[in-house]
Amino acid sequence: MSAFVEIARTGCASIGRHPIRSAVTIAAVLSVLVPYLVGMGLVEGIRQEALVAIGSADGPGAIALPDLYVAGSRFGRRVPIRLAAAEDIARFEGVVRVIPRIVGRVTLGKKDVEAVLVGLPQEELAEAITGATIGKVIEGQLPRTEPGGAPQLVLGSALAEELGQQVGGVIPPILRSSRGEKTPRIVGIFRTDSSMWQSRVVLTTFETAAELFDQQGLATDLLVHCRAGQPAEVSARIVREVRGVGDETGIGCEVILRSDLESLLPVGLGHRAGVFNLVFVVAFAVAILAILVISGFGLAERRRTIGILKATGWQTDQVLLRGLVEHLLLGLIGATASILLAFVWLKWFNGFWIAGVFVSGLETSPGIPVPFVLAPVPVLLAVLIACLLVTVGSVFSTWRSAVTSPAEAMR
Amino acid sequence: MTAVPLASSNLERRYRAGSSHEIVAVRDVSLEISSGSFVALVGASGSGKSTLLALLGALDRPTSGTVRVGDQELSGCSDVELARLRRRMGFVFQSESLIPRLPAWENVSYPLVAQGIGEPSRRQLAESLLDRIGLASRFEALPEELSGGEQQRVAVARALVGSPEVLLADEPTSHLDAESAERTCALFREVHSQGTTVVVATHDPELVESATRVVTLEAGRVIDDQDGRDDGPEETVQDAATIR
Repeated sequence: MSAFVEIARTGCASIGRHPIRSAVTIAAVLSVLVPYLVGMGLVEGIRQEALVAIGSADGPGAIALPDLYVAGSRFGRRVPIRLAAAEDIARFEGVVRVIPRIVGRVTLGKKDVEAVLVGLPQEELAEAITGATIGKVIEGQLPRTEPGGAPQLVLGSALAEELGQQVGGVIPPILRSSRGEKTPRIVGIFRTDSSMWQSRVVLTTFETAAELFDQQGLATDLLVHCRAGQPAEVSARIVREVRGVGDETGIGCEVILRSDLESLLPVGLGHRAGVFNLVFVVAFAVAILAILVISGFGLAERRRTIGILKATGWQTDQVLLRGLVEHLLLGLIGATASILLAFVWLKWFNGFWIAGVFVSGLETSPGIPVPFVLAPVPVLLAVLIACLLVTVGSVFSTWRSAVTSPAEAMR
Repeated sequence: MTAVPLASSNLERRYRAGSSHEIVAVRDVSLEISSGSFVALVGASGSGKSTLLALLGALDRPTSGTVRVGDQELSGCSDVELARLRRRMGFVFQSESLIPRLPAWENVSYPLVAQGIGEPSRRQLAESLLDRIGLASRFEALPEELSGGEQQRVAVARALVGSPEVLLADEPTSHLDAESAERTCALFREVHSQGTTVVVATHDPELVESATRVVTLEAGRVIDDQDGRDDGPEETVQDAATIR
């Protein structure tokens, strides 16, 4: 046991004795693991926020979200649904509530900041905000529909900050529709746990949204709450009986169950994460080669050292143990440094460059605080990869030298 | 300390040079080295001295023939047994045998790491050995900071750190200046006088003079073996000088 400890100590000390070799090996580990951890951190962050958004998150924040999302369907594509369909669906057995919603893209401010405008009926809007679906208004008030008045908006706090807006401010450009020009006014600012929402969502009343987008009598989709166990049945009936856009034959509704969303979400993120992982399998292979080359630089010296060790009474397994401890420790140092650097990259550099791979529309340097979670599994995987990378890259050459006779190794 | 006898029987060592060529470095060497003797292996470069020494020191395996250390035959030894056997022997290489980046004291005491001896004890042992060879002041010096002579003396100290029963040295004075060579020779004589069996491959007349037995090799064969030279070392020294 004491021999094991002493040999392990010499293995650790060896790292400091070969500073350049150690530094280059750690750099090779960092170059593979840091982007990998950043990518995985982003995937997990986005996934968790998305789960909150579709109401699948557990815990006290969990809320009752719609069971069905109903939109019109034309030529197999989702299109706005007529508002009158909400009344038809509300009469179906098993339906508790139907909420029309308008969701659209707007460009705001002089910086042309892209945002998502969400319009909900006033009473639902109040419930959505106070019921923690979205968050809470921290300043100002909820938007109202005032005929002839300026459209009232509530902005996420990060978006307000980005636009340099406060309650009472107006947002250029002036929105034009068939009813004339309107300059929206900010009546409130909300805060939420979801950084994406806080940075990109603008809330208003359903009527204001319909006016702003000039889409009277239509909704982007209908949010249908059903009684427990009823969603599938209601969904089938909507598809069968409700005309989404008009009364023409063949034009109907498209219904998405929340359970479908929950299952589609990991698939979508998984696809991007899969491509990302594939890229890193290649990077992993390249890093092994790089470490093999790095190992090759000191091979003659290491071979000679091993020859000396064996000539002076070290056993092959002791030589291997010394090398293994050295390289495992290098791997652990590399993994720890990678985790720290990945955290810095995500927290202070906001997922620079990599965030754009996972979130559509984000620039190289994201303007919004990107969500991230460094989950235990990728972190443990990183430690494993680092150790594997370093040991595979160098223990083979150590083993080759250790099993040859000392005279041969010294030659 | 009890010195063990070394013995070889019909020893042969071949190397493959290229795809078809083979070199026979040692052929049909049978030697018996008794306990406490001081044997000098002499011969021209390429005569097989270093190879024979490596075979006797369990650093290499023969192509055929046997080597015995005490009552143990090397061909039947496992890796662990060979390592244990090497701990009973000290080996001094011709040159560049120190581990780079390790200070002198660690180079001296590194063999003891594998035996589980802690750092304080190792430091103490290394200190006394370095003091014995006159290098106490170079305790923390790295190999690159030591002269060739100092490096070789550190290598001798390392060979002695495990209190070996046999000390084998491959041309230990070949790269040294006269003063360093003389110091090293004196060290070998001192070790021998304490009962350790010493086998040294050398061209150095002073080391040959110190030996109690001189074995001359040529083309891998023993061509002369002068034992019990206490009465007449002069002649053999002359032989060795002639060979060189």
